[in-house]
Amino acid sequence: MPDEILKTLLEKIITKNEALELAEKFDLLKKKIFSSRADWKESLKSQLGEDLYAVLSAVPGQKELFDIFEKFTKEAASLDTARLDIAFDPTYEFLSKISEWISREAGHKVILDINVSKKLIGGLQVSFGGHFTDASLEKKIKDSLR
Amino acid sequence: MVLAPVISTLLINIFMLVGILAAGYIGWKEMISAKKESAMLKKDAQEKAARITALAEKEAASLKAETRERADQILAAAQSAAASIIQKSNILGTQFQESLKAEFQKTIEKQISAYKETAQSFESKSEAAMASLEGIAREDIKETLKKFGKALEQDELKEHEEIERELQKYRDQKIAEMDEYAKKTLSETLTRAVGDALTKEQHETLVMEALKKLKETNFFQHA
Repeated sequence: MPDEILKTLLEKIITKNEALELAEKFDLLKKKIFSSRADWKESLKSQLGEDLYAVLSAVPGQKELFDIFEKFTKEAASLDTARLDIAFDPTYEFLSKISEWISREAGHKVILDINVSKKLIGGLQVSFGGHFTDASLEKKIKDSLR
Repeated sequence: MVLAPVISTLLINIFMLVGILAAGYIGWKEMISAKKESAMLKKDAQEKAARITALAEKEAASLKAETRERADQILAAAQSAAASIIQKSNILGTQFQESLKAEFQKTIEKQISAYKETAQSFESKSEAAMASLEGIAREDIKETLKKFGKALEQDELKEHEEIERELQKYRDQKIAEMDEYAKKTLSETLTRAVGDALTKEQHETLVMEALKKLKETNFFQHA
């Protein structure tokens, strides 16, 4: 059961930032539960969104919860990351679509490290697994001007 | 009486010595005067060079302003062309990227040819301006040469060559600056024009199309 919960949590992650923020949140939550000796489920409810609470409230006990937090931090840090430089502020739905698409192509879970750079004009630059490609409109225009 | 030849020899010697000293004094005076003239000539040449550089600088600034104005006109046309390209392109179709690229190619070619025309006209204008400046310098130097005689001709010619070299260097540098400016402005305005014209949906389409192209090269499998 805890393994399935961990898997669900990792699957929910789309971006590197999200993974880092969640790991930080779990760390703070752990400290809070320790120091306040409050009921862990109550703390989860008050500190996490409905979505995450729904997943984590199925954990049988506090010890298992802390195990999940620890494993999540480790595994999220080791997830494959694709760095995408794009020219606009993307919606969460769009990021989810891209992450899903890239993970399917790569054959494993890939999270996104998104950077917005207006100078690219359109398209994107991708860095993944030590490879880089520039499919931006900026490059196309520059190439044409050469 | 015995002393008479001695005195006369002595007097002759004194006269000769005075003569030598006088000649030496005159020669020395002439040397000093030549040196003074040479220093004046140098100062004169330096002043001329400064004047020429100031004139060239003024001319280049006016050329640059004109380049900017012409480039702005060209680029304003590029901006509206880019907007119309985006609107006309079938953004949701699979041919979108290719057609956008082709349309861009056309627009850019037009802009480049207009730019080349502009740059050429500025270049010839600049060359004419510089040539006239060189002419002024050459005339000035000729007059100076007449004034100071042939002895100084060699040095003066050297200075003239130096001024010509400096002007050539200056001209090349200014033309390169104008060229760089126009290229940069062209690129920046096209960039801005296209970036502003794209909607969020079009951005998303461009990203997805680019990813699909990457799929064809197995980018995500290789990586």
